[in-house]
Amino acid sequence: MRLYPRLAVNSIKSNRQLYFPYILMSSGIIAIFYIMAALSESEEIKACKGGHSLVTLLGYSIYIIAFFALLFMFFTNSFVIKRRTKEFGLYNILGMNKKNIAGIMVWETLIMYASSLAAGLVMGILFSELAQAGLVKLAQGTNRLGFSISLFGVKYAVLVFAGIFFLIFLNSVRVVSFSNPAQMIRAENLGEKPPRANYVIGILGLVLIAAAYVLVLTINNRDSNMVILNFVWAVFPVIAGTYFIFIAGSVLLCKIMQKNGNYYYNKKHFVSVANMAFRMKRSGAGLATIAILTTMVLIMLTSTICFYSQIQSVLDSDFPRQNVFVGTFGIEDDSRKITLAEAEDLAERTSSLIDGEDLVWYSKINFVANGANGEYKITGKNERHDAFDKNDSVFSLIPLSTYNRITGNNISLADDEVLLSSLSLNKFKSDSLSFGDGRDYKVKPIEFDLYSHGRYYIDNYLVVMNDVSSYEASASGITSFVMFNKDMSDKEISALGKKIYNEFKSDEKEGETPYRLNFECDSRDVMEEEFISIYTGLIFLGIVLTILFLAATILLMYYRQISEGHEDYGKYRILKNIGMTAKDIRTTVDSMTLITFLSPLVAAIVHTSVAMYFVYQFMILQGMFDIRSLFLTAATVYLAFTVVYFICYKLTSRSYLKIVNGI
Amino acid sequence: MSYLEVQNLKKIYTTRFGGNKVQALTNVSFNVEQGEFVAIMGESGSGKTTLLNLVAALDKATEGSIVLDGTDLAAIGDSKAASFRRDNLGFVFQEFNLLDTFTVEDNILLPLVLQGKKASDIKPKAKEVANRLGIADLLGKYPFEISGGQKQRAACARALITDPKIILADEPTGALDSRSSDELLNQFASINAQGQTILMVTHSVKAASRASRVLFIKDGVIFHQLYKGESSDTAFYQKISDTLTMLTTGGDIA
Ligand SMILES: Nc1ncnc2c1ncn2[C@@H]1O[C@H](COP(=O)(O)OP(=O)(O)OP(=O)(O)O)[C@@H](O)[C@H]1O
Ligand SMILES: [Mg+2]
Repeated sequence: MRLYPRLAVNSIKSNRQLYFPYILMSSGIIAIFYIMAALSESEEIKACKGGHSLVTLLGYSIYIIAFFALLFMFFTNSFVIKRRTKEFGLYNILGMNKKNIAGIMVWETLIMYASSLAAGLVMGILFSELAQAGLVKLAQGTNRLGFSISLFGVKYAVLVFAGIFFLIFLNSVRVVSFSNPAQMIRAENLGEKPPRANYVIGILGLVLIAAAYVLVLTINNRDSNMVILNFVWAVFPVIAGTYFIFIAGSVLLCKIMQKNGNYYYNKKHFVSVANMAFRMKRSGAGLATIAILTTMVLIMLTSTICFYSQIQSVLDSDFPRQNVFVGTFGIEDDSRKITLAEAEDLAERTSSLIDGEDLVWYSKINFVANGANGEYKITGKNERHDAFDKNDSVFSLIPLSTYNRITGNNISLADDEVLLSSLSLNKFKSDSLSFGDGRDYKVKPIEFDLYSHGRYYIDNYLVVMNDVSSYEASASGITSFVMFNKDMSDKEISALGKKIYNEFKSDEKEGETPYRLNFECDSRDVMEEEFISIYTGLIFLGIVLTILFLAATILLMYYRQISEGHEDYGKYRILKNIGMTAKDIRTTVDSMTLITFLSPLVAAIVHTSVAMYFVYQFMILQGMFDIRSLFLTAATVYLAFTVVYFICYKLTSRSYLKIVNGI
Repeated sequence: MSYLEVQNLKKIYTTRFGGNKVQALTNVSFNVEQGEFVAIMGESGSGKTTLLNLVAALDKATEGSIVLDGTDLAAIGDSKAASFRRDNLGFVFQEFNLLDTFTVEDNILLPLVLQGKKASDIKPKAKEVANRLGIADLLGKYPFEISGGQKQRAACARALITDPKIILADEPTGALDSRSSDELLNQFASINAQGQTILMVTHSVKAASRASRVLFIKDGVIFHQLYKGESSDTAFYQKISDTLTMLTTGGDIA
């Protein structure tokens, strides 16, 4: 049976316009897959800060890549097969049965698998060092020179893509075996009416998207559950709505343009609008898919880059010192509340056990109060566990003595005076303050960030007054902080924690209710490692998915251009005969392709911009407040993406013009 | 000076990589007067379509000249060729060449839209031409919804709407049954009677017999021509088919 391989080679050669880009894409995907697999067991990455969790993330992302590879290759292959049904139909009529055709397809698949795999692995091996260097840089580790081939990567690439190609082969066989030869030969355009504009679906699409936007734009960071939930709930209507609008709305739009005589009967629009009226319904789904994928990529890139860029500022505010001990105290049986004086005593004793530089300790009273314009009522909510209302704020109170001790000042206040510092985004706007206990304070604003105040995503004010003891009873919590600078390993920190714990344990006396001690020891280095490994992994995955997705988009665009070019070839020949000039043809083609290219991009940018509101709220939850960086990142990502997208468009739209002009 | 003058036309096709050369036209000369209805006949491959393409400025002649109403086609650049066609020529093809994305009306309007005319000015014109060809009630339909004969009449309407100097038709009845062919030829005869110049390539003796003159082309040259003069359709039909028989058997014309 030497015939099949020969026929397979021939048909790949004669369809190189279809197969060359396809092989190029699959080898690209294989290269990426190999790189991810190789990195997931790279020693150099393990050696980075948080390298172990990064490697785990990379290990998971191999599955994600495999999934997208299957999706994209399936999608593009169905295009290829569709374009070839005519050829298969001809084989069929020339006396080959479907088994013979499947025989040819087996060989085609094998050839493509082998060539993509070979090219992909070569590319992957060449580029994996580069990718590794980039990742190590992102993870702020040190690069070592070296060259290695990951057997693990090779093995998995061979196996996974064998599976993917097999599935794709099965699908091709399915497509071919379900069509009859006459159909196959006529496969392309039979006479059909332009699709009707479906108002119901179009309007439904608009309503869904509007509802989803409202859901996102009413997100309120005071309710941390709502932030995520609303966004998740918004995702599905947006996807459905985008499909509906692209499928129905575009037809509607063409209909409206056709109704407007002066617009429609203009040589710039006439041919393109009529063409699109026919085509939009069919290509609408493809365009919507591009729009949705673009949206995902844009959101992912923007948010991860923006988060990554703010890691240091979050750490700065949470960790004014390298190490922070946070203690919340209580009495074991809740028989009474602990007093501030007791808490301060515990904090001071803790600090005496530590030798480190820049040692600071203090205790503060927290409560949640509801109100505005300086008039508040204490709510009794716990700021760590309870959901907030719209007008809730967190107040942190410290005595003037503590303030003077930490700052080294020697300020004195009258009993009805307080110093107030706004710790969150919203500044305190009134010059008086009351908590509904009959006392009115005059407010002296100060700029003082009490180290490690802990981030609340609602308004948070620090209040300094002479005597805070009258608020002890209504406090939702008394928290102590001890912090200092010292390079410490994980082990040393937990050893220190043990030491402190034992100190207080030994201090318990018979007959007295013991304190409930709750100390958390955090180190900036540990936290930083964690942050960097998470966000590095996410950014890297984001970039890889973007590349993958762009490759798929380019290919989809390209195939659409070719198949539409072939469909339209006859049309433009007629138009030329009737007297359409080459220039008119070019403007018609340009305006048509531009609209079909531009629409998914515009949709994606609109979606992403709305989603940025969610990202912002989410950022605030994470204690990141730098909205400018979000704007900047989003703008940069949009711009870069648009540029790349347009290059893709230029590259592929030329192929259409060439085919149409019969070159 | 005739309306259309074709002089010593020669066309050699060269395949893209130099290789084979095909001499499609050797030396063709003829004139067409304004208002004439000329049919061109000849065996398959004798160069009829090539000749028509040259007259339509769709292709460039290797040698020789074509002058339409005082305009030398060779002097028209590639970029102007399309607009020259649009403004001066009307086409009717064997395979109708209607665009299926347009309604019949929009198909008919197409050349005028390409000329940059206003919607309000051109719509009545489409009605008028459609009326003349008896397809006024089909204007809103799409090409796939109408019969072959109706399609060909729509194609004629599209050719006529610009008031072209000359109608070029390449086997316009080739895809039609005999009744539709007759109807179409009646249309041609009647628009010709109104003064329209027509140049038609055909394989059908019956179609050719409706013309006022028939040119026979063989091996790339005009081999013979017949004038209808005062003879009836049937008499002319007989003369044409005699000539064709002689052409194919290789005999000489008396
Ligand atoms: N684009 C081309 N390139 C090369 N040779 C061509 C080309 N077009 C036509 N020919 C050749 O020129 C000769 C004349 O072709 P033409 O199409 O003019 O014939 P025709 O008289 O119209 O035939 P038919 O009656 O079958 O339509 C033929 O031998 C044909 O093979
Ligand atoms: Mg021909």
